Amino acid sequence: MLRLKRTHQLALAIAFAVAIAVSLALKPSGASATAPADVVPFDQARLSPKLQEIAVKVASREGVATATLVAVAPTVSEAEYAGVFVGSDASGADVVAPYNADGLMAFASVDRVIAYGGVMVFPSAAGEAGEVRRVSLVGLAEPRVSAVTIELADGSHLRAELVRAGRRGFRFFAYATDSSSRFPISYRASAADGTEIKSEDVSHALMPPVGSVG
Amino acid sequence: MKLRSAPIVLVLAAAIGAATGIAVPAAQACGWNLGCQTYSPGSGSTGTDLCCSVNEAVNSTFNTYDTVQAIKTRAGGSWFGSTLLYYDWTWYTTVDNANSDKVGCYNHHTGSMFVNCRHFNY
Repeated sequence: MLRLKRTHQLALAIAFAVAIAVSLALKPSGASATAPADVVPFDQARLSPKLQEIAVKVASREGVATATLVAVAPTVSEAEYAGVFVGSDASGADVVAPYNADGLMAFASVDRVIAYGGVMVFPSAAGEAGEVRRVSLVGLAEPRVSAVTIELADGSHLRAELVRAGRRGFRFFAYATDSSSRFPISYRASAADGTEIKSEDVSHALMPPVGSVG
Repeated sequence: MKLRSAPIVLVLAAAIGAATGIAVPAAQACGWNLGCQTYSPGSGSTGTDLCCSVNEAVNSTFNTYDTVQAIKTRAGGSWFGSTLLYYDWTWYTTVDNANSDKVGCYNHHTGSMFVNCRHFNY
């Protein structure tokens, strides 16, 4: 009876170990964590007072009503560092304005992404005296993009959460950090069947100029 | 070509260019206030605030690559912020010191590129 119980326990332990091994083998390579993002109305977005002020000013200047705007931003504590504003222009067409803690891009048609291979990213960095202290990587992608994986400085990978906003089904993501080991190095965007749509090194775009620029 | 017919050819070329939307290369100085020039890798140009406001915008057109860096520097040239700028897409930002901080464009690529860069208050 005792032997039978031990055999049963051993079988259970082996089955458990096999289940763990199989689940690890089936997991996408390295992309074990997620960069979560969410979409919120403009007036509920966590923005610094300075960014909110200039966003309102730029939207007014470019004929985009803030009532149409939403912000796609990280859901974690770095939310006010970066994101993408998505809204409509006077003709009702989808427009986007990627932003970071220091400012925003002009509002432009979401169709701009088509000329750049289906994905556009906006890496930004801020610091002082040539030292990078905070970076962000936000992006927009055509509806055919179903996954974006970000490689980080420490060698790990993040799966960016793709959030739909606007009327056209385009997808957006936002990641920001002030931890240098978590700075993004590159990204890879792929379709639902795993086919690569675009990949790009972003590390050079985040580096400050070498020396001083006159 | 005879010299006296040269102006006629130039006028004709400009007229055709205007009609077809093809730019005719001009030798005159361009209107971009941070210059129109070739940036070798790791070089750029910046300018101090034009007037009165910490609200500064940077805009650029260029060749060779898809992007250029828009940068912010202190009076002495040390960097404190940047973002990736696509062709003719404006970055609206702010500086800390209206009369001394600078904004401009920088070539972060490994090859040279011709860059038109400008900044303005908004």
